[in-house]
Amino acid sequence: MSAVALFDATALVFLAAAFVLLAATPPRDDGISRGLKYPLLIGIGLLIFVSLSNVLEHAGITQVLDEYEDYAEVLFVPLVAYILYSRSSAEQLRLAEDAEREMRREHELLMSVVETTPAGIVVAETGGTVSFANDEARHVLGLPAPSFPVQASEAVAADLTAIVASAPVRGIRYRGFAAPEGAWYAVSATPLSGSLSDTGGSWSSRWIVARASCSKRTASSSARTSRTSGCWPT
Amino acid sequence: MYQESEIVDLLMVIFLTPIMVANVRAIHVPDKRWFVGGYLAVALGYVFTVLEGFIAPEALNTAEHLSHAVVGALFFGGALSMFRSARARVSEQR
Repeated sequence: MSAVALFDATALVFLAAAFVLLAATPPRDDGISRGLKYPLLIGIGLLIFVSLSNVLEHAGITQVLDEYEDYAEVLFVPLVAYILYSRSSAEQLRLAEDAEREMRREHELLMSVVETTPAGIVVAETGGTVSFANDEARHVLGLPAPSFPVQASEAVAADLTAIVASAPVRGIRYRGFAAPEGAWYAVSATPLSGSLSDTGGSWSSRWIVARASCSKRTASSSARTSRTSGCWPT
Repeated sequence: MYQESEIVDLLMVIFLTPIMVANVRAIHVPDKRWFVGGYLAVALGYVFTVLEGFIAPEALNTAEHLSHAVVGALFFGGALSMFRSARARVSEQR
């Protein structure tokens, strides 16, 4: 037996064994998934066919498979490329889904913090368009149920425009927002960085935090309790 | 002399391998080194197949078939490694 035939026989035995082992391996998402296992089996199957053809040819048995051997060889490299590309795409998709889930979780957490905080939080633009306001801010600004963006009333819009124009500011005392009690608020505002609009232009919105500084003591007891926490002396 | 199909094989290896490199780095498959090694041995076999049409036909033909044996051994190693790790996971779950 020539060295070439010996090498071919060795290849055939190893590849056949690899095929059997791989076929017996249970597919798992974190290991060899179905999408990887079966194309890999096809790839090894192609190589088995090539080796079988070589063994039959070099052992002097028959050359009948030789003309088909070329097809198997030509198919092998694109098949490997397909396996790698599909696996890579599947992994990237899974990572993107994981990232999206994590982002949603963080968003829900942040929203629960924002919605339950006793400070009013507003995202507003010059002109009084409110892109977001939490419960407390909606109460202070007299905005309707959460449906954004919404245009604030004329008086509130003027206040918001003044604050937006002066941003960034931190902890200034502000009397306004057309509050019926004429309450004082500690107001902080900062420009929102980044480009959030579809046009790619800079976003003119400001993140405003308004905390009740000292509301009129004529408010009801329960209201006073909630609205005078952290009250500044005026 | 070389055959057209051998040239096609070699060209596909030359043009597709650089694209595959990025994907191989990105994917997380246990024991992928075995299969990467096997693919490289296949590619080397294609090179030998074409070269044997020009120089040292006997030696390069032997080298080509030797590369086939290496491919078989590497793929067997990869399959065995995957099979063992899958069995180990099943045993852990029990």
